[in-house]
Amino acid sequence: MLEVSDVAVSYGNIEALRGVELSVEEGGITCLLGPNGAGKTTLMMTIAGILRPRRGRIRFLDRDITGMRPSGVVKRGIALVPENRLVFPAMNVHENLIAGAYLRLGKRKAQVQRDVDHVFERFPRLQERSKQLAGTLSGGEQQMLAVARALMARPRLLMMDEPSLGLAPLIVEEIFRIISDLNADGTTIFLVEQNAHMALQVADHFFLLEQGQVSFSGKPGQLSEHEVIQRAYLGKSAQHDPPAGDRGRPDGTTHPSG
Amino acid sequence: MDFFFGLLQIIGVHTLLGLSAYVVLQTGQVTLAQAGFFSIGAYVSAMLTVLAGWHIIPALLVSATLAGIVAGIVGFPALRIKGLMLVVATIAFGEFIRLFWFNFDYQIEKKGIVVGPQGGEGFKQIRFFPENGWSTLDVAIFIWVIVALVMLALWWTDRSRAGAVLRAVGEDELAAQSVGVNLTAVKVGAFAAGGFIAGIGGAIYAHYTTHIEHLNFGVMLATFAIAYPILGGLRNVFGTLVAVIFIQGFLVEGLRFMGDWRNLLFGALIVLAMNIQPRGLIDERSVKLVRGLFTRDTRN
Repeated sequence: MLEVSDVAVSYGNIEALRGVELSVEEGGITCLLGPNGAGKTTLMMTIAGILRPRRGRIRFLDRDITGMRPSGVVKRGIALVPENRLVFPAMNVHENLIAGAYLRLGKRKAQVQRDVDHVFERFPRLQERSKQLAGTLSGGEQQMLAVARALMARPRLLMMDEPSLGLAPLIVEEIFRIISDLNADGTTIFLVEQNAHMALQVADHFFLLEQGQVSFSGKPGQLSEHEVIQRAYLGKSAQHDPPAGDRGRPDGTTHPSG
Repeated sequence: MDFFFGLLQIIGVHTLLGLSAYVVLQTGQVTLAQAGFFSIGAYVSAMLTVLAGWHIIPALLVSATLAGIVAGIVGFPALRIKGLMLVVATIAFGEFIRLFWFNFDYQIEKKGIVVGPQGGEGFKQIRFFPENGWSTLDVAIFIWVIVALVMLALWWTDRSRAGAVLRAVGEDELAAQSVGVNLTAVKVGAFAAGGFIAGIGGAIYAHYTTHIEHLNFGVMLATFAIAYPILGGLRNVFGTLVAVIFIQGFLVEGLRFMGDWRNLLFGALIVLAMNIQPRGLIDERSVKLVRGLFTRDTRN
């Protein structure tokens, strides 16, 4: 569904991504794990069109979306739930959702309202707080709102950047339940996470991103959770005793066959 | 009585000026170019009524449209610059337009007298209202019908889905982009709409003062343009109106008896007002207060 090939992104002289290769299969939950500074958020922002790659190609549903504007990318069916949620704090919950339906600004109001009702069904807590300013919601509610707002764009692929960031464990479980539910209802999910333990429970497929390159691609279970967590939090360089069998050179690791 | 009608005219025109900045501020952009767009409305409409002999209404619409187009063009470079840089860039653009009028010379003879903009001397004899027998009251009514229409349009926009999108861009551009908001369309659109409204204000201004010159459209006027919505609050259009009445009605006219001390008090009172009402004169609290006055006995 989504294919990223040889994507490189720089901030000035600093190379954040150095030829990233990965793909997201339709219908599943794909996870991107990696330590701080590996370039996970940069990759999300590049796919969303907010950053431009220096080289490489991004294809979505067999169409090239490299260098396309963010609004164009959303129109093709990719919505991003940004890191730190980024709700519109001085607007109420309902207005946040309306802003998420930007692409249907010219369409009939009733159609958008149906989507709002639909989203409220999924997140009853947001409905209760419909007129409350988004900035006054709790962290978990803001995360729900950010997801709900992205759903208003009717994405086929929902990208989520660290949805568990700064949330209490119980709330994190709830967020992951929502992710599974959304996926079960047909939305493909591409998830960036630091919480490797939770991510591996829901993921169909995962990638490890280290120092701007994909260093592992496979299914949960192919790598011991111990190693994944070590590499996801600390990066390869911090690893002391690598399990002999699983790990090869970065380019010699198992890649998805398709 | 004419004094009060005159004051009503000033308040009306400054409300339009403030609303023109209000639209742009909603998208999180601070602009000091509004005086420039205002001057385009003033000069172009005056040329149309004086030199081409048009009626005020088509002249007003054409000059405001032109101001809107120019503002839209300014909106494009504004996409790449933000915050203080945008403030500096828009000051530069406003001054550019002002200095254009300083150099602009185009006169023709009409009924034995030479009329038209004359560089630094300005543009005199913009006499559409007196020539057509409009009294001060007529002009005041004309202005306030237009102000009411513009306020109604903006009030309706604020409450519509488009208003939510404007404010979303103002609150967080990254988040707005991530859900598909086209920043270019929204920002350029806001600039163009603001330019159009400023152009209407300028067109009316030129015709009630009958004499305009480039010095009328300097940075001071641009500062007033953003001061009204900021002082009044960006919650809704009425904030801007209240701020104009506060500044033009109370601080400028109401304190005239204080002589030279007025200017001193003027600044001090604005600072005081912003400290007492940091989120603007019309904020959650004052709205609740006013609402409370009318619905006092429903609770007990």
